[in-house]
Amino acid sequence: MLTAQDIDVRFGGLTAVNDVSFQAPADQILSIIGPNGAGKTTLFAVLSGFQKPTRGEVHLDGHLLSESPAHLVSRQGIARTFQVVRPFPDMTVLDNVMVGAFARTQNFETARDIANRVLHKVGLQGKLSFLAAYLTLPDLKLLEVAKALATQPKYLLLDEVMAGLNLKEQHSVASMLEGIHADGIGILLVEHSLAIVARMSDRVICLDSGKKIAEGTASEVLASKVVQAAYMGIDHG
Amino acid sequence: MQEDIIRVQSPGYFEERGGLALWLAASGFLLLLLAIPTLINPYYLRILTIGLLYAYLASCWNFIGGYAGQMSLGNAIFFGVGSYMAAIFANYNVAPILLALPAAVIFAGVLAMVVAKICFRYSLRGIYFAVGTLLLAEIVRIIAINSDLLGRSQGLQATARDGFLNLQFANDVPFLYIMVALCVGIIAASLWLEQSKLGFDMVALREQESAARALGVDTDQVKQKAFVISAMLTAVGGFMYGALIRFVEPGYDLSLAVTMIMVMGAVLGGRGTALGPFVGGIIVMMVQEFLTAMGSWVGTTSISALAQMFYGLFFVVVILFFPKGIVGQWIRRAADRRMVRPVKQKD
Repeated sequence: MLTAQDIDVRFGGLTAVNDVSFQAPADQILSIIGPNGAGKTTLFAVLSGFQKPTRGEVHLDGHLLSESPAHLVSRQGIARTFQVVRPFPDMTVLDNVMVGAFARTQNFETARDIANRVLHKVGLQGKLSFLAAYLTLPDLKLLEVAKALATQPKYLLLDEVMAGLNLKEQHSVASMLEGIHADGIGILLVEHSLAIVARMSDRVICLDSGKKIAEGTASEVLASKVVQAAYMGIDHG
Repeated sequence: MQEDIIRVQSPGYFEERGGLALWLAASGFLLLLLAIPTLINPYYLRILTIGLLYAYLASCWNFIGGYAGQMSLGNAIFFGVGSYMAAIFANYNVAPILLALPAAVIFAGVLAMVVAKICFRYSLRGIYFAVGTLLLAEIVRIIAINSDLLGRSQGLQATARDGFLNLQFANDVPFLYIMVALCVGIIAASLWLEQSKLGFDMVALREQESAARALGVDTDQVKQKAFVISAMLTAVGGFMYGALIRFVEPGYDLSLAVTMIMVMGAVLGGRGTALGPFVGGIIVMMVQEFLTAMGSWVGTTSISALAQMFYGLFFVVVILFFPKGIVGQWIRRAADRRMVRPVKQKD
């Protein structure tokens, strides 16, 4: 269980995340939606240890995470991807993923086996020896997932992995992610593609200006008037 | 249902590292050196030994500046630790000169640890780390110039003493053999590193620091390890220089010139490759030697201002054509060829 309690993040006078709490059981897919600047990515940064919250705590299965630096949070089992992809450009695809795999082993062969397995799972098995610098954006997004997955996490935090993909590609990535989830890995999604949010999420949280304005099942949240006003620009008068 | 998938040829071990031909050429070169030293005149024997020293030093810098991508401009400090330690042991008759080697390596390691703690504690990155280490080297040089123990600006003579433990030989042949062994050793260490977790962590750190942290890499610790390893190995090179030349001075041993030999060798040959810095170091020696010879043809034995200009121009041109270094570019070209000629086969 990944728990966030009363999270505040302030940058000087700006409050990026304002008193957000939620619980994410590993057997659910939780989506976080909201307009640009709502604080979704900052919230992810807090969960993954890249940003210390001004107030509040993050726990994983009872262990406090929010005091640890990012690399220790990752070793505890929280793996994140970046909204703007961050590959290791001058390494091959396989080597990129092996960096993640080395998080759990010292052995070269074991790391290579893990990386191979993960690349098969995300569908990059045909591009093992490409330099990451040569990949197209959709492939880079898959590579982000593969690198994170290779650390053998308990939770996968995916920051807009669907952005830039067409609907068909989005659904094929969604199927792949559902397969990963079926292996027992909890998934948190930040996503703008509402079709995907509706398809995948067990639960949805909507943020606006750093505040949580709605939580519930996808259909509840997407039908909510506050969410429609804040996010979809539908004016209910 | 089996689908045709595009599968890229898996590169071979040596293909990923510059090609088998290059490795055979390098091995051939080293074997040749082992076979013929008694046939070479002493002057060229000395030059070849120095060339191997450059190659070794460039490979040392490659750990921090190549694989880990942290632009250290302070490695002269650790070179100086090695050469001065040799000179101190001989000059003050502390112990046989060979015992200066472990002393230098340990001292360099501790010093590097302190420097790394300070630099990385304050997150000195990129150009700031480069300038920080450069200034530290300058501080050490100024300390040496003002220290009576270290012989001030005149430097120290490493008094000749008899015996194997004092590394006193009739000619340079033993030194050449030692340098060949050190070069082979450091290239082997680089190859080992490329297949280890530490090596992957170092390259990931160089390529994208925050992405590496997200994958559980303790980047501060990796930087520290890379810096300390590089420093200790550099001290070995400095010791060999001190033992060979028998004279150390702050104007060379602790100067930017030493650091630049290391950096240029690695950059020229290919940062972050196992063989690149070796090739680059040999080239640096050859260019220096060529320019000295040119100088003597036109009537001056020192490297003249004109020669210095050619020296600079040569590096500019090489970097323009081989931005990743000679071996680095070779490796990249092989990767490019794999991209454009994928092999179709059944899965």
